[in-house]
Amino acid sequence: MKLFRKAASRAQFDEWISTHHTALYRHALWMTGNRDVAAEMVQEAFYQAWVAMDSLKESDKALPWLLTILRRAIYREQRYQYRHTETMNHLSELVTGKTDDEPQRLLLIYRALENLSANHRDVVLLHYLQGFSYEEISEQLQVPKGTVMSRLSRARQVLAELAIAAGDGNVVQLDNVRSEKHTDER
Amino acid sequence: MNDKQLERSLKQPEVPVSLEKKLRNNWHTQLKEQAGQRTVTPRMLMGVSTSVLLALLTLFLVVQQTTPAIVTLAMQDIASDAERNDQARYLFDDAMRVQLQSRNIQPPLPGMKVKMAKYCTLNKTKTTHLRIAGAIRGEVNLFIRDGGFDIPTWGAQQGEINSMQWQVIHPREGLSVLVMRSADMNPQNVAALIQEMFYA
Repeated sequence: MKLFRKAASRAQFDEWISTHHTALYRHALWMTGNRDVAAEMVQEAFYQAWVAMDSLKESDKALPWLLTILRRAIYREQRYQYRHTETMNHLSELVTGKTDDEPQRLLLIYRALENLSANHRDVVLLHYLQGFSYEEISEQLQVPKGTVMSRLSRARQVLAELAIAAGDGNVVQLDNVRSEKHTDER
Repeated sequence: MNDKQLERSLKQPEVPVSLEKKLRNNWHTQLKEQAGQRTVTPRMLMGVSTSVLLALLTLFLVVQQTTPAIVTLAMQDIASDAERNDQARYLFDDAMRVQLQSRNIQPPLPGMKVKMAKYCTLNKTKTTHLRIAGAIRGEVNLFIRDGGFDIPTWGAQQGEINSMQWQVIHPREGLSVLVMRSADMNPQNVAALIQEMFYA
């Protein structure tokens, strides 16, 4: 019986790698700003996820669970290695390539994110990059929904202010008010 | 830039094509390592310990309930004696009396008649067998041996076989007695007999 369960776990984990590695990598990249570190962190997250796979009770919540492992791994790494301070110089070369946006714009977004507190950056990435609703973020971060909303609002404001300060208000001029329709879509 | 544009921008960075393959390779390496070194969790350890303890307990109870082979042999000897027609040949004579006294064993109480006294071989070892009638009813068989009866200390030391109560006693170093009492014999009389013969 245990062998069957293990085989099922392997199949599921294999699927997770296929399905979620992109989301995890981009999340890690925006948090670290370094392609190599991001890949390393994603590997670390998947490693820890496999070890602790039995602790995940709801398999349909794999992505939030993996992202939580990833964020914790990155914060732990940043605390001990201070890699965060070394990453900015590498970012400009990361965002060049087959991107629709100008590299300068992505770099500006990254710098704006970097100026946010960890709490605010988490909310921005979970909402805008991963597409989670307020409720889902609230559940993942274990904070009230109102806190999520206020953090997101504050983050938008800071990002806009930083963009203006950078003399590129046109580039990162975020919507101040999100439409109800857009919120409902999530 | 509106929210949609921010979303699009955040999803712009390319994901290395090799990443998925690399992740899978690392995971497979991890699987092989796990297969090589089986992790012992506290839960597993507790489970194994409990199983071992239960197995030992079961074994102990089984051994405790199992009648030792020597008792079965003694029972067979008693049964074969009952079928003999020459029991008169095995009376408690002076030779036997002297032989017992030389081993510091007193003769039975006067009220208890020795119906048969002989030597038998139980499990290849010479054993003195006394069949003593109770004062009123019943009988007790004493198998006296220098040394032990090859019953492990954790094995059963008393029990019942064919409605006879049996018990192994060690009156002193180097002397063992297998006492087999019929159900209708007064146990207090047996205790008094043993006391008189071996502990006086």
